[in-house]
Amino acid sequence: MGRVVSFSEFDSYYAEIRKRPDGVLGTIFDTNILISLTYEVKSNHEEVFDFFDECLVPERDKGFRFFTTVNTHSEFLDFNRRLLMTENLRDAIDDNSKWKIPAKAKTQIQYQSGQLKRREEQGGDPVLNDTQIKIIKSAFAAGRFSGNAGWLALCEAFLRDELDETEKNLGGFGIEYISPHEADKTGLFEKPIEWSDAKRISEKTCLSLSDAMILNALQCSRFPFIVSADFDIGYAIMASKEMKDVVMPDSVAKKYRDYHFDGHE
Amino acid sequence: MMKDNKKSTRQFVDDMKALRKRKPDPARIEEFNKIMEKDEKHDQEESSEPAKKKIAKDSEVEI
Repeated sequence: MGRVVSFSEFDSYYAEIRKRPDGVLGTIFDTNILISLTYEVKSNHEEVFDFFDECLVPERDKGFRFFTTVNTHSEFLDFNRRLLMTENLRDAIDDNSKWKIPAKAKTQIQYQSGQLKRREEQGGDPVLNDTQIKIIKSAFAAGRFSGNAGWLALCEAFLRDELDETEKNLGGFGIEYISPHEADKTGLFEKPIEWSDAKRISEKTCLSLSDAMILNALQCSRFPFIVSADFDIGYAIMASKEMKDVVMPDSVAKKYRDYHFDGHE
Repeated sequence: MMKDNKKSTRQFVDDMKALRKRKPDPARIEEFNKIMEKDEKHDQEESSEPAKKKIAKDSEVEI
């Protein structure tokens, strides 16, 4: 049965699982952990930073490997795409900006930025979502002579090569993309990844398919645990007898105190 | 990859932040501004054109 292990319990937990005959090859990172680590605005940034710095990186330097799955890799890139667009658009409408943003688009960027302030006050990330980006995009195009040229030029300026750079940074930190389809990674899996298993995981606790795919990848891998800050991931792990473990920030792990599952005290 | 080839946590976080804070290329800004200037010029030309005469509605004429 899967366990929720808090960061503060990690050392003793890791010492125990290292005794296993097949050793501990590595772990999978959930998207939210990578975002918390790299985006200092997140409330648990320091907690996650310290955990990496004091617990995971010393192990990495002894051969422990870090991985993203297709889901966590794409979600992390996606977050950075929206973050880059958000911060660049806000800078572009600043009073000292050299960008000549048309009035209609400027109004829309200001309005959507105002919405972000409200979202942040409610604990969300001050990052435009795709619905908001679409609204801003249409403000650039509608009724203008140049059509989409302005928006395309902005994307070129704000985003070109940035996702490649993000990936390079992940690689430089030792985070590898894991795929059972790559010949050099097949040894990291115990069994093939099947859709049917992801669907069963999703159905068990109404977990999003995206999260269920991440957990399914963990289940099929030879790794004993995932690192996540997502309450739903911990919930799904505790609700199933077959699941592996999740390592979480103490601030998230303590939320499970009020939840009782069979086999958990 | 050996230890000395991999970034520290601090370096990784700083590099991600630096990526976000990187200023766009001034040439791209200029390119964008030119597009916007063309739009503005086009809008001005359109608004200064004399209004086209509307075809008078004549209830007696059947089309």
